[in-house]
Amino acid sequence: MGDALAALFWREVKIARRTGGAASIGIVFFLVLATIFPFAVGPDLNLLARLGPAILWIAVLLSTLLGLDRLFQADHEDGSLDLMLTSATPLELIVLVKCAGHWLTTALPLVIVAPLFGLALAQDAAALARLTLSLLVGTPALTLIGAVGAAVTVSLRRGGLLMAVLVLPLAIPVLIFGVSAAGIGATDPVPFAAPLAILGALSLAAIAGAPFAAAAALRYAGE
Amino acid sequence: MTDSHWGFILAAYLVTALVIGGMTLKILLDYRALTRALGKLASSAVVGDDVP
Amino acid sequence: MPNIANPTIFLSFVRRLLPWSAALAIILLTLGLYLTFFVAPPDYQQGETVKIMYLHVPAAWLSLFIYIVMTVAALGTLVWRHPLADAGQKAAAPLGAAFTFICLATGSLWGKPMWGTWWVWDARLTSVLVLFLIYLALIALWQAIEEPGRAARAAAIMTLVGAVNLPIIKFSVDWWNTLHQPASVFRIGGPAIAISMLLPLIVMAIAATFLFLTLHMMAIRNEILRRRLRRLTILAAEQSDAPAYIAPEPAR
Repeated sequence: MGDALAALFWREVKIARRTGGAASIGIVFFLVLATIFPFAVGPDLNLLARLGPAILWIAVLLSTLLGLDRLFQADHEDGSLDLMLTSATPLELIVLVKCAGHWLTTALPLVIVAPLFGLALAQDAAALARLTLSLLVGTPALTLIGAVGAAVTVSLRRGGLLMAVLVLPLAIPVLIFGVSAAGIGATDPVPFAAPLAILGALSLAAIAGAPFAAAAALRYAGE
Repeated sequence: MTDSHWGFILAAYLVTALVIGGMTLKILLDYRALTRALGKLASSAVVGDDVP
Repeated sequence: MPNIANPTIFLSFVRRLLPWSAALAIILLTLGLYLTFFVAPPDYQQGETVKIMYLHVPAAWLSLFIYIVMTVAALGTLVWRHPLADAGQKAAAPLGAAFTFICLATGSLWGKPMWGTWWVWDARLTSVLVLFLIYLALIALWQAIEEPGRAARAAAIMTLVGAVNLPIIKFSVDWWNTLHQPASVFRIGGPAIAISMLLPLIVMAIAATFLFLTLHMMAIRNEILRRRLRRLTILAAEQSDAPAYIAPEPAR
């Protein structure tokens, strides 16, 4: 079973890299979003410094979730999902491994490039560190919550927008604690440990719970 | 408090009445359309074979 | 007790029960409105504006109650795979959205004279707004999936995920709210609400509940009929030897 899961994990990573799709487009989308915000709020660096963590968190949230709609759909179309459904490996573990592959190829690059955009949004070193750490802790929750939405809309040809509508309200807690942990501007010192701990708890809860919901949705869609 | 607030009270009751009324109407119209469609289907099923 | 889980028996059950529950809802509503407008005193702080409370609080109660109903129906769909539970889920979602909308609209109309603004990002209002979004998302999911059984199972999973998430959302919104605006302006009476105000409120809440139950039964009946119509239409199309049906399928 371990071998099968490892093989699945590398398959996910390879597909993400080979099609050149998900990962790189996700980063470009993130860049576009982060660039658009200053046009909306104005180039005032003080204001941008205050809004920076919020802007980057929203950009990461949208890039992660919008990249997820194909998580199970490609497998659904080419029939590999049926193989996964009938395999001896529990579907919950398969979902978890697929999410891990997706997180590694699309969310982790975002976490790595986010501080660069943070510099452009006038974040200082401490703020950058907080931001990166909060994203690192929070993005697994986003990937897994998104996976439930992706599983529920798997049979829909154009489920992307619906998935975003389904999933975004559920991602509000992650956003709240993520932005809090990242610090809402340098002028407003909020305690760092508490929101970060809750963010971690949310991620762990998502890791523990979401695979079951997603697997159930996939089983029903396969009927 | 002044009389001007009656406008807000009235608006609140009006919005509520509109939403509930609209919902009820929609459910009733839906019911009528469904029973009509079912009736039509049932009658056409009986004579269906005779129709050229 | 007859087996009301059978859709056909359920339909005759609804036919008998509906006039009674509708009458009860209307009587209670009339009584509640009478108490609200002619008996309940104006609040010493909020004046007559407090009359909006008799709409706002029952709507808020229903917005939660309907989600609980939907959660139970979702369990019915997933555990017993019952078509009636599917219909119960589907019928409840638009009603839940409507009552949640009433809660938001009356809250806003109450807030304008009280706070001087149409909307405050108050913890309670914001949580209700998120609940409204979840209702809308579920309705969109119902509309997106054509096959009713499949739609029901997808919506059931999303409803349960939402039920698990709602307390977390409530908690995080509260936390966010205390972080940004320490003092909340908004208090309805607190525990020491006068009996002359509590009684109309309770009557209105019960009336609203019966109103929902009546509409819910009617909507469930519609869903059962809709499924029956769908099944019969498919059956008729399969049986008919119309040449149009054998015509070459459009290229995918």
